[in-house]
Amino acid sequence: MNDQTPNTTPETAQEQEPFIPPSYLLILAIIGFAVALIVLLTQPSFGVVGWGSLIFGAILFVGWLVMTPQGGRSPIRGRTLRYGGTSVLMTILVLVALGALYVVARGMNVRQDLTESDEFSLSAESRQAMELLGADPTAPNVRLLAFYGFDQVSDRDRDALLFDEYVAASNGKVSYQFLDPDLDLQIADQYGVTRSGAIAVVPLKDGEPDVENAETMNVLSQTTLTNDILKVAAQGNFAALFLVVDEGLGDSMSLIKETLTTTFDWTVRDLPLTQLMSPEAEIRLGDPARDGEVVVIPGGRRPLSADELQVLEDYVNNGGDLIIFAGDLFNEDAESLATDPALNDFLFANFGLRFNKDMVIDQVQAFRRPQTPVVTNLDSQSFITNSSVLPNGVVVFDLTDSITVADTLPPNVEVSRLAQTSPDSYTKTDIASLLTGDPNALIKTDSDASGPFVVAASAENTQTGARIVLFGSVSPALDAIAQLSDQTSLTVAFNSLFWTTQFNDFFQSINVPQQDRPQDQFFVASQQQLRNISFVTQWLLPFGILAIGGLVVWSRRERRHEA
Amino acid sequence: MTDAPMPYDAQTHHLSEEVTTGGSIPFWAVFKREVSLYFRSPVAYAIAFALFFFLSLVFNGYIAQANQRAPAQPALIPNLVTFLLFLIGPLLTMRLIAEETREGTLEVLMTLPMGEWHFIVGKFLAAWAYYTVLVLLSLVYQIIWTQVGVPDQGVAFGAYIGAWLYGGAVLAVCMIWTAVTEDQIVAAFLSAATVLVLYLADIAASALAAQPNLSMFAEILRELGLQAHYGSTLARGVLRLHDILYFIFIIIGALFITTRIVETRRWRA
Amino acid sequence: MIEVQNLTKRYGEVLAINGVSFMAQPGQVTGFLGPNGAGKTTTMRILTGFMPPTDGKATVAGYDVFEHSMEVRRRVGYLPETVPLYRDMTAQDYLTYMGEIRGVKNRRTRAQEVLERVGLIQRAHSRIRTLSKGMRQRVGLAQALMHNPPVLILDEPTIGLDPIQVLELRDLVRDLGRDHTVLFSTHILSEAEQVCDNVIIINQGHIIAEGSPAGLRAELERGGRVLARIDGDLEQALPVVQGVPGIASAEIRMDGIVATPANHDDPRAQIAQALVSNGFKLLELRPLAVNLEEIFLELTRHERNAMTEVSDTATPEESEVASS
Repeated sequence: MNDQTPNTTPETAQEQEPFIPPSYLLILAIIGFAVALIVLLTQPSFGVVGWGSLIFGAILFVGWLVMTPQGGRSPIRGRTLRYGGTSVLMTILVLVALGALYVVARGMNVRQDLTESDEFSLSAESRQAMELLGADPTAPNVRLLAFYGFDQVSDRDRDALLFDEYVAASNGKVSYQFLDPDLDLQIADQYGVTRSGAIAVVPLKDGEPDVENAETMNVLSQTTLTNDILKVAAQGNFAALFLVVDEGLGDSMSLIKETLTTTFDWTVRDLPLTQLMSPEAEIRLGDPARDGEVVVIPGGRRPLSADELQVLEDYVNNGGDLIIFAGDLFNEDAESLATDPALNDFLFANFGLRFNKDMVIDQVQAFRRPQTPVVTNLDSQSFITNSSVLPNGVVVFDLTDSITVADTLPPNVEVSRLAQTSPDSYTKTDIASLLTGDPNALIKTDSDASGPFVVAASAENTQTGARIVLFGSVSPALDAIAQLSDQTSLTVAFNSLFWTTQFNDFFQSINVPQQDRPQDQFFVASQQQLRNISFVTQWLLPFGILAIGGLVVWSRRERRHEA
Repeated sequence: MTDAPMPYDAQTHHLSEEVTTGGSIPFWAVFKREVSLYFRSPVAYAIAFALFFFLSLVFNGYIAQANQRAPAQPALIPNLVTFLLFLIGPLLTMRLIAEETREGTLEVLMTLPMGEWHFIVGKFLAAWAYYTVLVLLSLVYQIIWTQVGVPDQGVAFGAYIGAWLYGGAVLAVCMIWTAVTEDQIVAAFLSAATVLVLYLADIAASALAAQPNLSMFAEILRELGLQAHYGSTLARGVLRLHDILYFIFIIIGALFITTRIVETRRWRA
Repeated sequence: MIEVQNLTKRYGEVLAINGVSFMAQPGQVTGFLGPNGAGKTTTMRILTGFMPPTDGKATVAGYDVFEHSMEVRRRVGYLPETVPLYRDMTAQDYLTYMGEIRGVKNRRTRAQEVLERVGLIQRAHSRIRTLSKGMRQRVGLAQALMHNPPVLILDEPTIGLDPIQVLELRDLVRDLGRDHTVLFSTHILSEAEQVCDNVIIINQGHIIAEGSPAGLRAELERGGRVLARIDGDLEQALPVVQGVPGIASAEIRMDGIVATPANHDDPRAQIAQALVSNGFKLLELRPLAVNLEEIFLELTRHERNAMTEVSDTATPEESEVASS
């Protein structure tokens, strides 16, 4: 037994060595490292394959060192390091090491935006907006889908810098994802993206993208991106409730209704009077979930019943907002909803305003006929009629009532006389005679009151927060008028909706102003400058170099002959 | 400093002259000689002339056409320079090692007490220094932009730094070929081809990426290319650590390979 | 001091040198003789650290040429066979440049000194391309002297020089040999004889003889082939020479008769006697080995004789060497 043991040991040792030649171990180790490197370079996560091949490579490398102590040491000592096949191996190892270092650095993704305008970093305005968004617990998460093709991979790397800042500033509320418009065709189609470089901004509803409310842009612009993010994240719950009243013109206000729905994401409903009264009604006034809500009375003839009026009065007394477009009195009974004494008593008592049962006639400043006065005297202080937002200062009031403003306003009430007719205007109270169509009936008599008359007014009760706007005519809100001329009348109508609900404050919060960067301004070179530039660059610089070169070569030639 | 403790000293005590050696930085000597050669070489002046003449043609054409229609483009000239490097690089480097191999001067250099890297790094730094002078001269165009408009100085900084590093990488890659062959023309052609391939790598990669099973390969190819680390980052004013490292590693890697090739020549000679 | 043990260099399948061992002492000029392709240049390149040996060991100035290549290079001045110089530089600039790489401190004055030493001080500021071959050779030598190395390795420094330049250079080398270890390769025996204190003869990668030039010559002349030139018909004289006792063979070559003795005895006395007694006028009778080729032929002849019949392969080799 004792004699046999020393015999077997050297034999097995000798058999094992050629079984796996050490150089094979080294080659396999390098292959392992290479695979790990490729995984690191190309896969999003290092994963099992990456770790596996890395460990595989490391074990084999250690094995190689153990099995060939000479081989392991000699590369470090120099002889084989520099000559023969080890030289190639060493070169590969050095290159792999450099590659690995690069991959690590790439993973760290250290970046610095050098641009003076911080083109690829968040502007102060955007940062503030994103911080507000991140702090808002009710705001939904927003996903940026950047459709960058393979030819834009470098742009992708670059813009990721900006997107990362959005993510950080919004405290993770904004996330982003890069998609290839050619590979992710279906998703691209969903957002109507056809070209590389487009970015879709989509809010997430329960983790799923809400494609309906997505915004897309074709080229990255930070301001647009910020505004789009704010827009899709904004849960502004605004509603306009158009009362369905007798002979009301709510159906002729489709332009306003559509724009509110599509552009401003408002909820627009027609509210029948029966629903207003019903306790089980689907739509209730004063819904606390809403950020803003306004009841619009689009003209109408039959006065509201006492019960109906009571509902409205309660609503307004609780801070509800109301806009009344007064319908015309052009009917046999010369009656309209707006001129109902009960309603006007309420308005006068609470807001110091009253519709008069009359019609303003203007022979001088009118559109086509005296019954359609044109108002140029608009209150520039008011948000609704601020001249800077109006295309021009002209609003048409067709068959309009005049509005009386109380000399003494109720407490806590502020009134703006939004629109006043010209001093040449006058009012007729005898509607029946006008109805006959007799032109003489339009002529001013001594008994007619003289203008100017208020035909539109707004009032706010600062205590309750109730805001009301009264228009003597329906015409500013009608599709027909909007299509007839420019958009001034319509803008006034929109502004009254926005003012009553304070939508303007909300809207401004989701609009980051465009930065005006001097770097984006076009360069201007005068003819003289162009001549100078041409001289310096085309003649002075290249031929100067040539001359210096010639001089140097020539001088050396001379010296050589001397020597 | 004398070589007092050295073993041979006992045998050389009777030497007539006393020579002090030590503290030498051989690559500095090589560098100085090569730089002075560049500034005395008609070829180098011809390259500079051709470069600046071409730049001026493009620049004047652009400025006349885009006047009052576009913002200042500080990256225009650096971009052009990086494109032209496929010509400048090989022309500047083709002589460096090939000539020494052909003339036999390499044999003497390799019996001097310096590692090959001194010789290669010295030559590379000289070529890079000459290129740096070209880049600095091209700053004239940045001054012009400042005169006629408001160029983004950050973009200019990034683009010029990028073009400078880019040039270093190209020159280092060209060094490999001038070490491989002793024929300067062959070295120049192979270098130009290599640089063009590296320049176009990201375009080739995007063509490959269309095939899904090649996307991984395309990604690696793109990362290997030069433009992927310059075009939309440094040239747009975004400094990324790994772009800088890419250029530095290309320089180190290429010079390492060059050193190995020169060493190999030694034991094959 | 150079010490070489069993040095072997293999290029792929070809053995350039095979187990070469020798020693070069300080204060001596050691001559290294051999035909082209014998392995002289390979050996010298190994000793200068230019290339590594495949096997064996060589120390120069106490340092192993492979393990401490840089130390060796610091102590060696090397003049390669084809003196490669930067032709666009002046001699002064070239030496200064080499001195800078070697880290010579006072290199400008040192370059002047070295140029003075090689007798080129007047042309210090001439571009190397304008110098003659001999001058370039001396610039190369000056380069090897720049750092005042204890060991000088000069690969055929006299090749291609005119006779005066050769003489000058030999003087210089002999002078240098007094305070340096000089390894000097040549293929001219007389040169080796004049310059060297010790001669090593190398052929086909191994050393075939070593010793002082005088000793080598004496040994070769004894028992070597002799050349007899006569005033008369060589054809008639040939049988006379062949008939001399102790002559193995004789043939007509080089305007005379070359006789090969059968043993190591000098056959000249018998040949002279035989020719004169047969009425031929003897013009010259001398040992044939006066230059390296001849010595080489002699040495290899002895080697070949020592081996068994390989005369068929030996003949082309002989002619090849003679023509080189």
